[in-house]
Amino acid sequence: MYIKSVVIQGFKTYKNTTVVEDLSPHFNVVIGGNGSGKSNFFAAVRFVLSDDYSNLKREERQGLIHQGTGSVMSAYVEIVFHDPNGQMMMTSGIPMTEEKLVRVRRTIGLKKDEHSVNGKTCHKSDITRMFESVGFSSSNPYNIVPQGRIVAVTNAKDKERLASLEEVVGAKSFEIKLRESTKKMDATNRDRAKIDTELAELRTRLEELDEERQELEKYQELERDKRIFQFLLYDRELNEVTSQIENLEDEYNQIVQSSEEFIQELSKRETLIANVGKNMESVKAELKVKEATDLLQEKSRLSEVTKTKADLEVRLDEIKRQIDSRRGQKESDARNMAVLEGEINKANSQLDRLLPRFEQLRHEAKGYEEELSNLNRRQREMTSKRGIYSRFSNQEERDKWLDEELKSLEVQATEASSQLSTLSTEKEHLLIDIKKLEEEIAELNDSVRGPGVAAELEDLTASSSEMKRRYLEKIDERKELWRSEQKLQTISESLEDAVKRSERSLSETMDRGLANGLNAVKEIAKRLKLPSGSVHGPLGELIKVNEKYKLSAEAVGGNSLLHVVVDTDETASILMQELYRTKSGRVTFMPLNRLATNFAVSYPDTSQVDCTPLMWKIKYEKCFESAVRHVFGRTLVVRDLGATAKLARDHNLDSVTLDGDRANKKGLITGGYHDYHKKMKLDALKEIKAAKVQFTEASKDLESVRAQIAAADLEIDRVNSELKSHSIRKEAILTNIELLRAKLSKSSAEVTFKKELLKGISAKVEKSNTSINLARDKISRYQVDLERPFEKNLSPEEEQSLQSLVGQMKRLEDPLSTTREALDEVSTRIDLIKAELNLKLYAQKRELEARILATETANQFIRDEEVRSLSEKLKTMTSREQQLSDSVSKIMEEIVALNDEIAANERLQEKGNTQQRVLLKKLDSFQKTAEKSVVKKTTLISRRDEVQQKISEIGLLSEDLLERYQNLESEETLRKLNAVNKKISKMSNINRRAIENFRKFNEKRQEMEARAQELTQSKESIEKLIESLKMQKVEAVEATFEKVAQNFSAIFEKLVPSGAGKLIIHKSAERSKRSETVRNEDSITSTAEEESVDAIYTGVSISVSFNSKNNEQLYVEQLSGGQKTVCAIALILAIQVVEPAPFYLFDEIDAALDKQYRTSVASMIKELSSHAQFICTTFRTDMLQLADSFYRVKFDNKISEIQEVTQQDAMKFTKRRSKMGEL
Amino acid sequence: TTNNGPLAQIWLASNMSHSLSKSVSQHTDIIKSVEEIARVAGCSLDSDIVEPITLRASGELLHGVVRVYSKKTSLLLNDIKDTLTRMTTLFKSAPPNVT
Ligand SMILES: Nc1ncnc2c1ncn2[C@@H]1O[C@H](COP(=O)(O)OP(=O)(O)OP(=O)(O)O)[C@@H](O)[C@H]1O
Ligand SMILES: [Mg+2]
Repeated sequence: MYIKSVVIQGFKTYKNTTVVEDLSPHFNVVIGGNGSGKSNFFAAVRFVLSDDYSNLKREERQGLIHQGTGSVMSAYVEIVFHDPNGQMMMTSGIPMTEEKLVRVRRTIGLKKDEHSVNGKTCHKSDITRMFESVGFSSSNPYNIVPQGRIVAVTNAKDKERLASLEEVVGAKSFEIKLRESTKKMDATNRDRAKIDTELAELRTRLEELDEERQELEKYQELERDKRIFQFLLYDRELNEVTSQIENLEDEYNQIVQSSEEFIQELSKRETLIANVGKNMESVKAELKVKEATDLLQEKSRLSEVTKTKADLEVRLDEIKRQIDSRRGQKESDARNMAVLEGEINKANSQLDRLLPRFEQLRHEAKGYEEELSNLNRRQREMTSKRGIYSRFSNQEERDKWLDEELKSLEVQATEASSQLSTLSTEKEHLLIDIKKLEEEIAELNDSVRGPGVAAELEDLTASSSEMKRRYLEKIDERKELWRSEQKLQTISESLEDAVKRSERSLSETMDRGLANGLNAVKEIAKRLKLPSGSVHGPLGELIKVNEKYKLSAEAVGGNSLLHVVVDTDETASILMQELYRTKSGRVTFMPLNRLATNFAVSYPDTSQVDCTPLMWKIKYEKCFESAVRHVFGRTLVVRDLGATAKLARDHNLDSVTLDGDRANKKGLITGGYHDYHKKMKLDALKEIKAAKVQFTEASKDLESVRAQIAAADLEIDRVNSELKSHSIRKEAILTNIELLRAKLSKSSAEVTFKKELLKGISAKVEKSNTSINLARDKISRYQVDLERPFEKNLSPEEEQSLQSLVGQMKRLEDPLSTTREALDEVSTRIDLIKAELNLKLYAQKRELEARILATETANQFIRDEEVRSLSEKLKTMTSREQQLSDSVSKIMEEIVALNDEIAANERLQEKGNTQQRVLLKKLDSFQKTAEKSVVKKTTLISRRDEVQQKISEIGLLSEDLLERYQNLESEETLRKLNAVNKKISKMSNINRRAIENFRKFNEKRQEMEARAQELTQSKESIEKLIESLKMQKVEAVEATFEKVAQNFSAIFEKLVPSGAGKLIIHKSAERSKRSETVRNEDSITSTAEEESVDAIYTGVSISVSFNSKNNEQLYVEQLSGGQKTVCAIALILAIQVVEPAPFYLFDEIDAALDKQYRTSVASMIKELSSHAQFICTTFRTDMLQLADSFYRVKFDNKISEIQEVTQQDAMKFTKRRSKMGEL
Repeated sequence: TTNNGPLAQIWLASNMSHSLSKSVSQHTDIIKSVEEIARVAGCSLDSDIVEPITLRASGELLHGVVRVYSKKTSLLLNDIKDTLTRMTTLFKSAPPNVT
């Protein structure tokens, strides 16, 4: 083994990667100038291989890494060994390369320090051990000799030298191992002592165990007997119990069978009762409707009718009474009228009688008066003539006065005539006025009492009464409608209740989340106003199943019946989100557009096999086919699961029986008892649907009725308003008539006034006429007078005529006064009569007439009409009342009937219930007996199991033993068993596993004792080995020393032919003796061991002479530097011969030698280099001449570099150098 | 030299820093090993080895064999202890006889 190449980088002066390749396995020389880096190269090798560079401080590392321009941070040195013979013991885990190269590398940085072998990181100690295995010790001071260290070898003390010698032999490491081994031995010996004690313990324990074992054996025998007896007993009991169980089972089956019949009966009854209950419920609902609405309504209607009837009656009475009273008045009026008329007639006749007399009287009176007045006038004239003319003295005077008088009379006449003319015009005017007024009055009369107004009024009253009738009719109609609304309301409420009840019963069949969800889906669909075709509702609502297959469908459908069918998945997702948002339950959706519609299902030939596809028995709308198919499509209805299971599986179908037992295609079978009384989803869904339909119908009806009511309301309002307008109009007409009437009366008053005025004017006219006549008379008389001659006194004839005149006048005066008296009388009478007539009788008559007219014209007709209509109404009301009371009584009857029905139903139910109870009681008793028998059975079974268990616990028994005791009586057996038990109980605390344990532990003990034995032997042999190895060591040291000494002498003589050298080993005499005595004693207790074997020797010294072979032996201390070097080289080489190391590095070992020694050293090395590799540095040519490879270190720019050079170049370089040195 | 001889296990036992495996120590015959060591070390009388191994090597081997021995001993001790405890626990679980 040798160093093949060295790679250095960053180490000291070797900044760049420097590779020293192909080192010779024999003799290599390195040359170079001072300070060029040779020593650094050696240092690099030592850096890897020796201990000198271990435990470096930071600064020390710094010193090793190249410093200078562009300094590096880390350095490594790799040494490649060639190991062709595989001498090197590789550390575990590191592979040997194929070229048998071992690359040892050490890398340092400021912080790291790593070793690696063949690229694998490992510990320094591993490397050290590796090298020791090839004989290179990192602590050996002779392998790598640094510059200037060679003399130290010579200068070492004897003891040190001895130590290094021993080191060479390997004694030191042996010593260490030996010490370790002995220590370990001691420790182990302690363990061994423990082993002995433990083993002893074990043995005693085993003995105990053995005792137990024997006891156990005895026990076991007893046990076996016991078991036999027990077995016999148990066996017998088992047989008995088994037969009992069988009996019980028979009994039980019988009970079950009969109870099953009862159960069937019970279920029949239950459905009956349920039906009755349902029926009763509907009857009750009907009753409720009847009681709450129909009856009440009819009653209210009736009372209303009665009330109106009473009203009508009252009114009719009233009217009748009025008519009666009117009639009475009319009669009295007529009577009065007659009386009045009689009176008037009487008065008139009186008047008639009186008037002619009056006329006569007046005429007479007038005649008298005229006569008298003529007479008077004549008298007056005469007297006046006498008087007037007496004043005058002559004619002239008298004429003058007459003229004047005439003139004034003339004026008077004209005045009167003009007055007359004005009066007559006035009269004419008045007449015209009167005529006009009369016309007006006629017109007014016309308009007040005219046929047009009357007709209009009549029309109005007729139409308003018609309207009133209609109004009332409408109100009645509306009332009717209200009633029906109320009724419908009640009905729809009860229906709604029914829907809710059904829904509740449905939700009993599912969990709350689903129920909530279903409700929420409905609500959401309504709230979001999803189109009507989008949410169809639960699947179960959409299908109809044949009654016979309902159980099957229920079983197959399961919760799928409650999956909500929707049109698209979008709808589903909307609903789902909404459900999630409102946190209202979970629902599964079946979007029709997503369900696969085309999965082919082949059904087996149904005509051949006893089965039917379930799909065929379900009715549904075409659009839901996919959903239905999805749930039911893969199921066959079969009569028996077992028979058709295979068939169904062949067709990849599930099958279900009519009882709802199922087998799916994977072979799972579900089934068993199904609670028939529990509500089925399908039923519940169907009920809900029916109830819903009813409910919607009812609500529709309700809606229409409400619409009708609204229409009726409208109509009523319309009629009412019309009626109002009519009455207003009538009112207006009536007021108008009143107004006209007032006007009329005013006009008539005016007419009378005017007539009166006319009368006055006529009188005035008459008066004017008379005054005109008077004036004319006077005028004519005056004119006569004027013609006559003036006479102062009266002529005698005149006096005479005057006298006759007075006589005449006296004659006349009497008849005149009587006439006048008579006239006065008559006229007063006439006046009285007239006054009575005009003021009293006519007025009364007019009044009466007016009254009679009023009663006759205005009221008679209307009253009659009213009476007729009222009586008609009354008639209808009565009939209506009759009708209503009939219907009320009918309803009552119905209610009674319904109540009867309810009662009947209740009785039925009661009966059913009692029957049920009886049945239940019976069933209960059955159950009790069944339970009892079951309990008995279970106890028996448990007993049987127990016994069986016990028998099996007893385990197998030998046949012959059993046979021996087979015929033993049970009592005898029992007795024996007791005896055995007693014995056993005495033997308490039996270790049942004693035998087995004993065997096991005994084996173990034997094995361990064998091992202990073996260990003792081992120990002895090891001790022997230690002894002999100690001896060996001493021998080895001695032998080595001998050899080294021998070689030393030989090599020394070769180096110094004229001198002689010797190595002397010094023994410590007394120590050796003691050691020997110690060795003779037992080494186990020896204390000398620690002091080690080398204590025999105290040191090794060198004794040489350079000039003579025999005398003048000198010790090293006495030699010169060069001589010391020679000695050292000799010693190193001597050791090398004895214990060869694989390689040596010498840095300028020949520096201090003269030519003669150099040559001999070089040849010496050359000789040894055949067995080991040498790498040396030198400044001399001696080595160069003998070496195999040459290397030169160049130092440039503070960086070293190594090159291989030829021998000549090396020689040249060295010679040049030495010359320069000489110069 | 001793890499793959009969003492390979012993050599490893000495060199291995970690503890010995149970099976290795169990299957090593100490006495034979010792004889072999003695033989290669050249200290037995009937030694026919020409060149005995170095002291270093024999030291290593000795150490190895002692380690194996020690291991064996401790194993045995443990075994015995174990057995004893098992027995005592057995006694404990089944109340011991009145002795
Ligand atoms: N860490 C380092 N970085 C750079 N240079 C260094 C370092 N350590 C030492 N040196 C340099 O190395 C040189 C010493 O080299 P070395 O001792 O190998 O010389 P040599 O060839 O053995 O000389 P001589 O013939 O005198 O023995 C010195 O010049 C020194 O400056
Ligand atoms: Mg140097």
